[in-house]
Amino acid sequence: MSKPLKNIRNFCILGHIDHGKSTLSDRLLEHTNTLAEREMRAQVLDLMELERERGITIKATAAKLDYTTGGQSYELNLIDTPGHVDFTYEVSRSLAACEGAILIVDAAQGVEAQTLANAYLAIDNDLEIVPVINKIDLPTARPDEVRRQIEEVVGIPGDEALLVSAKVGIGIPAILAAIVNRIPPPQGETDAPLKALVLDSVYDNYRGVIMYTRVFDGSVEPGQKIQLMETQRAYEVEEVGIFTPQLQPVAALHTGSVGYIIAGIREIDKAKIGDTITHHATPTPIPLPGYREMKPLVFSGLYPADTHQFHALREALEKLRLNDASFNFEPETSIALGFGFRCGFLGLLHMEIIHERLEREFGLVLVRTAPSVMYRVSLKSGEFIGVDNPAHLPELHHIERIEEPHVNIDIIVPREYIGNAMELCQKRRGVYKRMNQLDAQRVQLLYELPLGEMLTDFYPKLKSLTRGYGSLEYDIGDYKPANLVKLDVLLNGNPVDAFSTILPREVADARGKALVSKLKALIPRQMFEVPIQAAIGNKIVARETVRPLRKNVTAKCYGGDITRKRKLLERQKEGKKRMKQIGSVDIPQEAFTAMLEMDE
Amino acid sequence: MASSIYLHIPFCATKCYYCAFNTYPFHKEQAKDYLVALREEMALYAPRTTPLSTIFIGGGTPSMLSAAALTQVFADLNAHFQIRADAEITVECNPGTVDAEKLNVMRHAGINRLSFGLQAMQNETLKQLGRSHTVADFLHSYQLARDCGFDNINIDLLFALPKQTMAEWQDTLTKVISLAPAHISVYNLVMEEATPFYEWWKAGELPLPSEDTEADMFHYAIETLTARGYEHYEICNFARPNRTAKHNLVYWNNQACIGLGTGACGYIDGTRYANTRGIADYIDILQRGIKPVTHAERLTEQAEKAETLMLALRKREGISLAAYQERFGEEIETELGEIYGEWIDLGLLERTETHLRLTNRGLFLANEVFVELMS
Ligand SMILES: Nc1nc2c(ncn2[C@@H]2O[C@H](COP(=O)(O)OP(=O)(O)OP(=O)(O)O)[C@@H](O)[C@H]2O)c(=O)[nH]1
Ligand SMILES: C[S@@+](CC[C@H](N)C(=O)[O-])C[C@H]1O[C@@H](n2cnc3c(N)ncnc32)[C@H](O)[C@@H]1O
Ligand code: SF4
Ligand SMILES: [Mg+2]
Repeated sequence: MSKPLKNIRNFCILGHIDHGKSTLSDRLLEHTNTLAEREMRAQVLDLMELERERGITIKATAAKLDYTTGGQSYELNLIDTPGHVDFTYEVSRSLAACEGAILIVDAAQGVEAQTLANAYLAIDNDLEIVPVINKIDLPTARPDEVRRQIEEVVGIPGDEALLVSAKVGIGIPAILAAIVNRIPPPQGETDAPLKALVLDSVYDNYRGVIMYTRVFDGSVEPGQKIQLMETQRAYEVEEVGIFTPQLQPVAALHTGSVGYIIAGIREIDKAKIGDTITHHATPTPIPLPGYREMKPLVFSGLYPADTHQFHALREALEKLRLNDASFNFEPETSIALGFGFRCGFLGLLHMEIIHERLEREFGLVLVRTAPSVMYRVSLKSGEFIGVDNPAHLPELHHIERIEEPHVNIDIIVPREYIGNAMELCQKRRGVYKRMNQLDAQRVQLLYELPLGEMLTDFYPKLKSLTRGYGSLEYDIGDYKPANLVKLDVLLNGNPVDAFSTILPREVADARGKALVSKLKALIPRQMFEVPIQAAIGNKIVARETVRPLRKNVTAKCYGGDITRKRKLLERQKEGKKRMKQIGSVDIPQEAFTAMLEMDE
Repeated sequence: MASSIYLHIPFCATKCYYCAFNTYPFHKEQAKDYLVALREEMALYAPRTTPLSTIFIGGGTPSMLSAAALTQVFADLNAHFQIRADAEITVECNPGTVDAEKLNVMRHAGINRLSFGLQAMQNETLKQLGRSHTVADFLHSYQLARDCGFDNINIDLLFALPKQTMAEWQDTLTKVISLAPAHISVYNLVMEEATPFYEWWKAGELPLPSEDTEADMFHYAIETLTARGYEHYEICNFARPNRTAKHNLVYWNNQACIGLGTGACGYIDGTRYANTRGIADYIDILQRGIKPVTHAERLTEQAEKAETLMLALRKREGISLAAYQERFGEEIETELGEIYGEWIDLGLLERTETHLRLTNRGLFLANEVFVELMS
């Protein structure tokens, strides 16, 4: 049964990380009886195990709520979005499906970096914003102050902000009323040819691609033949449905609604996020603009621990990309790690999450190399190349100049930590831009710094230097030349490509020393002496030695327990096989991972 | 068919902190039932033996049994099996648990070898290991055994113990050598799961000596014992001439052996098996006249080869080329393929006229070699 457009509202919940978006979603689901009580749990829209474990939202998740007020029944399509800066792409995708947004601000923390960034995204998309001040139950809540920040810092009327506690359940009816009264209904032509946007998709082994969609014009139902406009493929619709948040089939999806379509699509690359779905026989003349492609900022190599799993990894990457168009991958080879992929991500957390999802959802065991940015290198020959893998940097004497990407960062910190935050930025080659007083307690610091500097635990450092209060948001800036060199690590005289890094000349020696001593602790003693060296070009800047193993013999082959002993040895052999061998030196996989945790 | 028996007595007065052997506190009634069950089990295996040439009664603490109980066990063995006149029959004894009566009973029953778990010659160290005896207890038991006429005695020692210094280890060895036992075993302490030591070790609370110290200790033991007339015939075992442990050689030669008692393991006709570990369970099953076996595995040829190599290479003389060829119809060199040459080049293995063996260096790295033998 279709609702008239005036009875539909599409909105998302936006805000800084942890300000309570998913918790508020819970209350809205509850209040509209969308889920039975037994189905409820905290942050119910965080469907992924990984989200639940980490307590953060990674994927935007939709749910349809039925809400009746003033004798009218409404269909409210809610999308809960992630707050972390690395998942901004999820937010932008959700915005395209909505006419309004609830902007949630923590009453104790106030406006933070992602509050601003997400608010601006919503404004750019012409969304009606309903500001909500959450967590008013907290003793440290400062609703009036936050109201003022919303007005002055974000630039939207603060007196419209609703006071809410998502946890305790205060102010929920007022939010529902505001959604109905303040957010405009979708526009669209019910009778026009189908025009629907692919918001997201997932691959199901039984059903093929499941496309998440927002219908802008027309309607779609099972049995109809649809077409994906960009890839020009036609498919027959098998099922359409809505999110409860579980998939629930319905007879048809109508103009203005959010739901899913299953059309037996097996070719993963044919269902592109951002594509427009229309009817095959009567296509819409103009496709939707779709999404801007995201440019990955952070690159690292992903390799199967078991080299036989290369193809499995490729398949997994393809399937996962369906569900997250913001990362990309390309095959590469490493002398140390064999065949794998160079992958581009939007940030470090994004990288970690993709890595973990590949392991969990596809049963792979992966080795990941240290993250790198994309360098622009001009060669003496006059050529320009992009280098996203330090091992591929040409030899120094071929290089004219190396440029590295910079970011404009926006840090919000309590006053007492300004010094700490500034010192950190300075240390990371940051250039001070501006400081804004946000309120009596907090300031906003604007810096420009090399993106590469943010890859070696900048954020954790900032957090610990500001006792957890600092928040960070960044925008990609310009490329700028720098005095950079490549630091190589040699084991037993052989360079280990996966350990190469590009870094400023002035810190290279110290980093070389640190790397080498860390590796010394990680590489087990072998049958022979293993020298570990760090080098810049031909110049060795640090050296350590792993002394040869002297003794590995078990005292006793106990009584009759011989098979147990054999099986133990067999397992050790398996473990050894999983080590990566470079010039007969066995390197445990943890060494590659542990190198990621290198401090300055 | 087998001509060796291992018989397990699963009782100990207290549990040593490092020990993962299948042992329980002693209960008189249960021990009685246990011996009855053992007799049942003997009956089940009797048809599968040829005249026995080695018997090893181990534990736990066999010497905890009363003189009467011990008499019973030996009578049962004699009733069920034919025992060769020259058979080696060993009983494991804990210091402080034997008296003249027990020793005489054993001696008359035909026991000709004793093995004492001494571990260390310092009271402080014994205490830290959770041992329930002192150095004096050991010296007393040892002297009693000698006085009773036992001349084939082994002493077990542990090294690489928490806080143990080289000087302490040297002290232990010197004192033990001065007693001139026929046989000495030196074991480096192994962290076994589900022991207090293991837990403390995991928690970082067990100050174990470094790998280097451990290697030095092992090296010192080899030098000293061989200099004092002990033949280093297996990685951890040293014997005066003609006093090698025949029973243990059965293991190292990967020959058949019947295991009796809780948790005992056996190897007959190409199948390895292990008994149930619980005493009550063991008694219960045997009351129904069934073998108390919980795990049995027929070895694949590959597994048998790997085990044969891994065991025989523990012996200083190594593995007999002819014996291997006879057993598997193939030369070791062919079997090992590439690694054969690699190991010889790396100085881990060497070939004599008749044998393939670990070099001195290989001996210290035996596990590295054994791991590679696995398929
Ligand atoms: N005291 C209090 N705590 C709240 C309230 N709302 C949410 N929280 C808590 O804040 C934490 C974060 O809540 P989430 O709902 O997961 O936050 P989020 O905005 O969805 O976070 P991301 O999705 O990771 O951006 C949880 O521990 C919630 O229990 C509230 O009204 N009062
Ligand atoms: C089967 S045990 C029992 C011997 C007897 N109950 C005793 O302790 O005197 C035989 C020997 O194994 C050795 N042993 C026991 N646990 C060990 C461990 N965790 N690591 C190395 N050797 C061990 C000890 O030297 C012990 O004497
Ligand atoms: S070492 Fe010997 S005495 Fe100590 S618990 Fe183990 S078996 Fe019993
Ligand atoms: Mg959330």
